[in-house]
Amino acid sequence: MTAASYKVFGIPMEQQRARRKLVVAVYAVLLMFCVGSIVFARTAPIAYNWTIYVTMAAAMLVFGGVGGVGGRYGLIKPFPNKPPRPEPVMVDAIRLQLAPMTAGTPDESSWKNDERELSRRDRAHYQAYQVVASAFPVVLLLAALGLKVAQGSLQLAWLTTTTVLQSIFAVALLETVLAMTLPAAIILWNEPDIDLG
Amino acid sequence: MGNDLYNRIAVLRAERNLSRQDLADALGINYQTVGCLERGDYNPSLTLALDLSAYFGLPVEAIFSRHPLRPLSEAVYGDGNGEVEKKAMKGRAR
Repeated sequence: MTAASYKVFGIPMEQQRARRKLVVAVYAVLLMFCVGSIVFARTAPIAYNWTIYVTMAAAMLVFGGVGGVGGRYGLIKPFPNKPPRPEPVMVDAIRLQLAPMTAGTPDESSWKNDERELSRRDRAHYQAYQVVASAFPVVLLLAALGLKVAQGSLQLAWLTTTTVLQSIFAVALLETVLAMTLPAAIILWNEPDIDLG
Repeated sequence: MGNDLYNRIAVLRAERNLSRQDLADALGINYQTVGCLERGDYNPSLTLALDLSAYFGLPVEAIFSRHPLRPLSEAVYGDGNGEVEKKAMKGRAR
């Protein structure tokens, strides 16, 4: 990994403090989207889709892909510890007598996690699991509440089936975001200052 | 007993005029891991400890210890009469 590749929007991320600020900023925006989905979706239901798209994009660009898998753009190495697929051979380029793109093998250090990185990855997943698992009962309680409202066994003036469903969507979205990004975020948060030399 | 593990990797690397990247490449690890090892932030596996031992051509106990290590020069040439050495010995006795 080079200094040039360790930047987000041109801001160097070698310092732990910079990475922590990034993690806080990204989660603040994502939380805003989750809560905003409830507010804006009343007038524009397409907001649900947009919140999902933005969430996926943030996960891909900052945290290195969904669950750290297939992340070519994130700040940390992909989690699977397998070499990425080689670039496809540029058959059309050869046919057109253009110089084909070399299908070079990527540098091992760009994808291979050593023993410290593997232990760091596993610990981050364990810590993320604690958080993600604790949010599931909230979804379950909201779903139970929604069923009661839908069946008419619970009648409150301010509580409608739509409100409950929107809340379930917001919490489920937040849960999805955490499940996808938290291990990578924990690594970015904990990794000490990087001396890229 | 705590989980503290002390090592001489930084000194051995400096003596051989190696960069962290050189050592990392030789051992097949990330250079950040070398930094973590030197700072004592990460305790290596037995495999990595033995790899380091083989790379430096020294016994494992010369590189790693459960107790604070004496400076290498002192360990080789010291006779226990120096002031620094006496302080270090007192510290270890505590």
